Amino acid sequence: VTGDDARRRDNLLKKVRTIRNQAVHLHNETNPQLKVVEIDYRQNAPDRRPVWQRVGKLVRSSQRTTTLQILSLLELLARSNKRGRIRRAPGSLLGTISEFLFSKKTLEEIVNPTIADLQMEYCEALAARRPYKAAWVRVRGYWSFAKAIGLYGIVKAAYELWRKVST
Amino acid sequence: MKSQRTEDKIPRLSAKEALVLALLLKTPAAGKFGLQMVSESDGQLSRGTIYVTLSRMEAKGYVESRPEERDRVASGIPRRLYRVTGYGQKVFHLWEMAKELAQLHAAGVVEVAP
Repeated sequence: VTGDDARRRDNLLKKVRTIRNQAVHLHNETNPQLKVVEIDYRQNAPDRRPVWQRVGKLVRSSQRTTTLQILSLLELLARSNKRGRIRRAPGSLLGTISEFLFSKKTLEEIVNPTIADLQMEYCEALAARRPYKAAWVRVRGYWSFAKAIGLYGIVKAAYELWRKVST
Repeated sequence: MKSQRTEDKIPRLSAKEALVLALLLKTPAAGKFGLQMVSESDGQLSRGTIYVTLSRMEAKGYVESRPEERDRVASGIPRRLYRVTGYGQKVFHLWEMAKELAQLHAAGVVEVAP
């Protein structure tokens, strides 16, 4: 970031702060236009650029940018960062690590079914709008996974030993 | 080949394996998913051990499994559907008979020759 860029960003942030304060003031006065603008912006696809870049372009490109549009944009970005984030399904990292650690047979018979159950139960809980249950399912799923893998190792060793002894 | 080798020996069935077979024999043609069996077992089977048990039973030839059939658009890891084999059914019926005999023996109704 050059000195000019930093100055431009500071100016921009100052502008945004001023606009935001005005917008909050408007919001406090319960301006009915606020909701209308919000709805229009919600229909647009979320932009993944940083907040200051996006707001900066909007301020620079349009003379008609209103306080309400800026506020809506900030809210939309805040909302998309918090709620609309695309996450990996629970257990996908476990699956990736397990591919390096276990044989194909173990993956097919133990690891994948355990992760599939975890993901299915997790998605069912989210679909039923029960985020706390989903969090609990995630914890329980990881515990089941650890249990299955630990137990499988012991059982496999015991089974191999039994086979050797019996033949 | 695996089941042939197993048939040569005396089949062994643990209480947990017998429970799995009993649950699978409720719908022998359709089969069941692991999680389904856990929920139907009233806490006797756990999520952490069910697939280990099923894997062992598959190695013994009592059950067979395949990935579930799904739409092309479906995402995520496919679950496995388990079904009881003919050998598994025979072993389960023998196990039930042996259990009944043991109960009768314990009650003093029948005597088992040493």
